[in-house]
Amino acid sequence: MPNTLLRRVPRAEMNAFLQTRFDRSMRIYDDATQIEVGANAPEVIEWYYESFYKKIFYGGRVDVVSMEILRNRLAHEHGCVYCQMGDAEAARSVGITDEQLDHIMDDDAPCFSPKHRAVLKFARQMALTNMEGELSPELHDELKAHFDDGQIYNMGVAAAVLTGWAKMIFVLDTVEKTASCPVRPRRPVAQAAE
Amino acid sequence: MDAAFQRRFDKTMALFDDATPIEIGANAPAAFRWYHDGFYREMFYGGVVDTLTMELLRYRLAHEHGCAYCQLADAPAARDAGLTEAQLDRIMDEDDPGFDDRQRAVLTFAKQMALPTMDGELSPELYDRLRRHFDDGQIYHLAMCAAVLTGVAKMLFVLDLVEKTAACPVRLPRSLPQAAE
Repeated sequence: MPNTLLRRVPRAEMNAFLQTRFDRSMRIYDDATQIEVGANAPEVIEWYYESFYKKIFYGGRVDVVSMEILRNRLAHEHGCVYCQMGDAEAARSVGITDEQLDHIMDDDAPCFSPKHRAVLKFARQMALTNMEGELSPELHDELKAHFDDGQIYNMGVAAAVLTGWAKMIFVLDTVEKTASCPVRPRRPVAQAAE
Repeated sequence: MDAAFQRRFDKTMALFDDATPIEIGANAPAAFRWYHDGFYREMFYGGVVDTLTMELLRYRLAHEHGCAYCQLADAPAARDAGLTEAQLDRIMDEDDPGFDDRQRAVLTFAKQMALPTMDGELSPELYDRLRRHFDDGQIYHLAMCAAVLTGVAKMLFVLDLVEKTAACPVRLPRSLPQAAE
């Protein structure tokens, strides 16, 4: 379980927006550390959900299925249990199948279209751990068959914020991690099973 | 490009003699503007943490990440906020006596948030140091800004939009030439 040092703001002290996020977190994860800690700076966590998600992730140039594939792959690259559970629910709601979710770490799985395989490969390049990440000429060609450069840039910004966010929630210790999580704090914390 | 992009292009050319990030960002003007207006105006400069502290955080991250473009771009703003040349020169030394306790705590936090620090954490000791100067809301704000800056650094490297120093942790397999540190 998360072992954060930051104050957990009680639900009763949250505004209506954060209470809704708190209730969703409790429903999906039976834990709402992420929201309790974010509520120390409500304008900041609301900015993440309202500005980033509305304008870039859902409100940008890229179709929502591609964005959910990008996000689910990053959640698994980063080993964030909290992200995996919440993102899977959103992915299913836009038509991504359980088979696809089960193969989210396989860039070549035939259950994905060529378009979505290109997105999975791009997500791998953007992951926190990939210190050799690049948009190679081959990957650019693969992406360009389905996206223009504005859409690729939009996916880059979305993946950048999601990747940075993952780093933040690991450093602040506000989410449960899988054994594959690349960020290993020096003080021992309980890990979830892979 | 529209007039606003052209102004940014000209400013970038004057500073770096290169405007690749602007040229590529112009493929998706709304996403680019979101970063500069949505993030910088609302979060980085519009939040509950003072500008000097934010500039210190950003300048340290630019060096942690070895982003030559970011270092050049961030230095004038850091000077404007009150950071001295000696402090800029010592930005990678979180124990340097040229920084006060508050600034040393911010530098140590920035190191935890940097891409290559895979054991990054807000330890009890660092939390205690930060709490002498910031409340939990301000620490969360610092973390969110560092998160976006760190993620954007990763994007700049993956899309190959900026010149890197030898210290850059992201090494393209294509073995592109690196700038001197």
